[in-house]
Amino acid sequence: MEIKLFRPHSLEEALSQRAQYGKDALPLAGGQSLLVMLRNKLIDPQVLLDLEPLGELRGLQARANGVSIGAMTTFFDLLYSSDVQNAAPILAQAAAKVGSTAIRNLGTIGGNLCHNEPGADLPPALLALNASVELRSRKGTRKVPLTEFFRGYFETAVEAEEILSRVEIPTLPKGARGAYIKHAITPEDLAIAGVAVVLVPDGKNPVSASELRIGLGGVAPVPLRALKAEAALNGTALTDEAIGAAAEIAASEAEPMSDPHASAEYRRKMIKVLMRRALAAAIEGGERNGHGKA
Amino acid sequence: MAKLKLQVNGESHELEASETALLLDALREGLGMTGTKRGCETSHCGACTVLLDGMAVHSCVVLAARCEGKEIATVEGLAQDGELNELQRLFLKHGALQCGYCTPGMLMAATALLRRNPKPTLEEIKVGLDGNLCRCTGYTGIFEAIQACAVGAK
Amino acid sequence: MANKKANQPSYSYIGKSAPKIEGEKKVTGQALYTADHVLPGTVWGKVLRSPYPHARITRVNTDRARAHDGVLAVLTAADIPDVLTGRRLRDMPMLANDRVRFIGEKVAVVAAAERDVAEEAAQLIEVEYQPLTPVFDPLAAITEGAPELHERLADYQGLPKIGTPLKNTYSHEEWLLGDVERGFCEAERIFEDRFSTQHVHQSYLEPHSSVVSIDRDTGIIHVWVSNKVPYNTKNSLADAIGIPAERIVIHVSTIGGDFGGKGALMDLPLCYFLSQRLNRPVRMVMNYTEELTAANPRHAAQIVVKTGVKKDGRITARQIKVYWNGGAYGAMKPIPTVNLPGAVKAAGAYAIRNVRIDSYAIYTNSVPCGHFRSPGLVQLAFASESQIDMIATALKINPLELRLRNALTDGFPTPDVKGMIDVKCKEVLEAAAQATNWNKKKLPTHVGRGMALSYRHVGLGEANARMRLNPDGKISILTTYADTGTGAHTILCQMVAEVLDVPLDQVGLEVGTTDAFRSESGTGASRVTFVLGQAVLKATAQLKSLLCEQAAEMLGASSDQIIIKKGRLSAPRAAGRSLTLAGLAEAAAAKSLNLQSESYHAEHETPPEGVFAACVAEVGIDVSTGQVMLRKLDTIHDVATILNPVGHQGQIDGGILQGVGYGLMEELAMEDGRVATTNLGEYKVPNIRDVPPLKTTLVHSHEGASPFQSKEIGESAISQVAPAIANAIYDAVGVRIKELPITAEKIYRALKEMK
Repeated sequence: MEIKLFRPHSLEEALSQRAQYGKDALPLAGGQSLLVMLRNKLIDPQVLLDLEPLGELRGLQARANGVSIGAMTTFFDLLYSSDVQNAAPILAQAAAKVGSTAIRNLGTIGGNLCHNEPGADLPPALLALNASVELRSRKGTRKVPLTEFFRGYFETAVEAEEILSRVEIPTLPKGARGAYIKHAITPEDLAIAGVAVVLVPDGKNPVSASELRIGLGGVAPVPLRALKAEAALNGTALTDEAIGAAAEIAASEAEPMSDPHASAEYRRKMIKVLMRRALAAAIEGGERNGHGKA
Repeated sequence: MAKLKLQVNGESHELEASETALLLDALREGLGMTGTKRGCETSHCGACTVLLDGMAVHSCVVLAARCEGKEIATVEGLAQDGELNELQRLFLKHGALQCGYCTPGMLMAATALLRRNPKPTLEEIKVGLDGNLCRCTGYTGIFEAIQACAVGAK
Repeated sequence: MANKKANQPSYSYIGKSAPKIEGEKKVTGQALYTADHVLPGTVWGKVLRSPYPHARITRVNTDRARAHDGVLAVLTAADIPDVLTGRRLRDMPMLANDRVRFIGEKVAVVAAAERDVAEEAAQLIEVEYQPLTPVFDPLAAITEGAPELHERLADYQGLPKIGTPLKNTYSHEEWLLGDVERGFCEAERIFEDRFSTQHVHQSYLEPHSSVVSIDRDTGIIHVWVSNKVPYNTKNSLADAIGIPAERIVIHVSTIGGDFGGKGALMDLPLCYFLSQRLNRPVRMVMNYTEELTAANPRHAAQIVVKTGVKKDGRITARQIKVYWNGGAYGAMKPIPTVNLPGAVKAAGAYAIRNVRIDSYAIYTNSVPCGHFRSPGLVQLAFASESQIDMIATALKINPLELRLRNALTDGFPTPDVKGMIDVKCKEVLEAAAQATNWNKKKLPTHVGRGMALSYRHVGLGEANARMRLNPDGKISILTTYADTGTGAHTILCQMVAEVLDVPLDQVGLEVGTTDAFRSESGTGASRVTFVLGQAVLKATAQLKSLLCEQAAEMLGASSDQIIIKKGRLSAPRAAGRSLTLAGLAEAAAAKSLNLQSESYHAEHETPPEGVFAACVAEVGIDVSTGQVMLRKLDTIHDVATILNPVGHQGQIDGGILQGVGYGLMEELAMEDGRVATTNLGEYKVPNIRDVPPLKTTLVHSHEGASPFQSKEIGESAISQVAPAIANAIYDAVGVRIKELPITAEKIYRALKEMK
């Protein structure tokens, strides 16, 4: 059966098609993951819905209450956007670490979130940024916090008739800093473990942090917030012991899996290492986007 | 099946292909342009790299239908009137190719890089070509060729 | 980069970097690789593979597949001759008949005009399997209770006569030098260590491809195939399909990387059967998952090294046992003993009087293995060179010093040759020490350095060359040896230019078909410059005589008075007159004279010139994660004449990086016989960002076995990299990893255990 390609003229038209075909119509964003799955016969849709023509899914706007990012924004756009670099620098950091140049040129934030592959780089950063997504359907719009978006291994909250349209990042509190640290076999890989931290440092010697959020990737079937670790650290002095204890808690919140590249146990241990590093990096000014022009 | 109009290396081509045909297949099978290579087909090796509106993309993960109205550049378009361009000449001079299978993709990725960034540092070259595998050369000849091209850039 | 060469005779074309002669075609996309040959009416073939590592096939039903829209043919074992195939040992069916022995074994093949259709239809073939007990570990496969994988082994064509009572073992090669038992008695300390190495894939970017087209009128079977041994392949194919070899013509294609992996028949017979059935050209291209799971990777190995030493580190005896996990079939191995050629060098580049090496090739229910750059030696060098450092540590001797004390010298016998000449082993070690400031450099915490050493020889075989003066005045070489990227074709042109004193751009090379010659060995084994180079030199000498004869006639001189300089022929007596090659060609044509020569050359005995190479790795370890940062890699090579410097360095750099991949990141991870790394994202091949700072130091000798006193380089750079890295890691943080690849996790765990 030949798969049909629909090129809707408007988001409404796309939503009608989603309503009509449900899970048999897959939205096609950057195609960098979906087309590989199609090639490997891991998915078998009747229809591909091309999202490229849809203006409503584009655009990156800094607004009073935060940044609104269209689902079709590419990794390339994210990492070079001054709005992102100003308002949510760890998102640019994470985008710089995804795959390779060609993948960053075409892959999108919406596609990356909906694909939900363990080890992906954007989700932990977005979780630490307290992001939420906008899901559109013919019935209307709903906003889902990212903490509720990732449901299971390669599964998300997107319903059969919905399309993810925008990613919303609320304005960071004043003085907020962040860092995304990734451990992988080689730079282009999915993370064996990835930790993103956003915090507002307070005082000196020892520094304490408020508004602390920790996102973990690659260490569970879904990306997650290390809520218990956050609770243990938030508002307290970030001594070595405190960080060590919180890192233990974060490691226990994860449910890592073993695969040919790393065992579950190792992933758990790496969370602790990366958390220390991410906290240190965030406090000391965060890892700047290390990219030159490319 | 659908009719597709593709602009490749400045020339317009019409072909018939399935609606979800990949750009790689449209180029190789549809247009008989076999310069772009089929490697891993999962976007990891870069042998299939072409330029789409000047951006390096892996044609094995691009729908041909999405390329209508855009400029596609492939390795066949680099030489002008049978004359190799500077990058091609430098690739030959610096041993940037051995078996040659990664070369079309490598040239296109390097072309995209140099257009955006005419004087890339070694680190920037590494990032720009991070989606192109070479199993033969150990990459050093490739660095040298691109650096030499950068130095010579006007 | 490479040092300036010293003492090299002055050549005009040899020794000067020359761009690849086929390079222009490659940088313009005009070079035609196998899958680029599209003939009108070509259809696709796609294979169905077994999901079981070991099973009986009880039922096959192809009805649904045949009925699928667009399917042109479906073949199973019942439709093709019941013939076993193999490069030497013929133990592998073209399609599994009643039994499958590895996950990925071919069970059926489908043809359709569209590749997608063929793939879909293949999945509609219903196969019923009755699982049998599999065995995956070679050490388990040789035990009493293991399932017997090839009951009819004794009947297989090509079975080496080196039998063994060990179960599931089809080849046991053994080398003896002196008396190891006595050697161990003389030792003051004995070390015995086990090592384990993984399966790795050659990862050439061009997947295995075949195109077959049968000429209806003549019955000639035209073949394009990504295979570097066309004559062997022609004969194997003839036997497999039951057609006389004279009816097969293989058109030697441009090959997109080989590294030893492109010598077997692969899909070619199936491609033929489909083509014959359909009367249409058929193309089969393995997708990369098929490559990673079912091609012919490097053998995994279990290695035991036992070394006896005196207190001062002199080695009195070395005994190595290697158990190769050869996978389900031996069909992919080309040498007569169906074993791995590198095994004979397992004891290393050392002067050891007493050596015993036992090399066992064992069947298991996993992917059949083949050759990959320096086959056998890469695995064994990891083991033997790691152990040298372990001995150095135990004896509290500097690893450099230990190697120097045992370094091979001129005339000292090794298991493979009676003694080498112009041995540069010590010199290579000393140059390594000097280049890296080995004894003096102070290193920061968690940073370490390690070294390793290996040696090699050129390969043997036969080759043909035909040369002629073209009508346009160009000298043309005809060869059927593929240049798989090594730069061999360019070197041949340089040689001809040098011998004739003709500008390089006046020398061309044509790649022919198997109709050109009777037979020859084909590319590989580091034989091309050595064997084909000599064939070309012979043919060049003959051609030169003919040219001089013809010129002599035209200039009114005698042949021996003719001088060729920069492509012009003259004679001192015929003052003022000279001829161009074009002029000569014209005159010859007028007389209907073909100025052409042909020669054949064979080498049967390993020459006494060897080649030595060392590697020094400097690593930094992130002790919190175990991650290895490669800070620097030095390689030190013993060279004589370098024929094409840019090509030579390319072979070094490429080999080094494959060694890095082998040591640190590549693994065809096996889970109960199933390759779990099924694409190039999961199977990690070194990327441009993984290249460490590299420095090459050359040590100059005068004696090379190959033309113009050159030495082999293609397979010299790879074997010593992984052990150098392993030794550097030990130096950095005191952990000894004896299992490849050395991942961050392994180092992390070892560090934790140390606490």
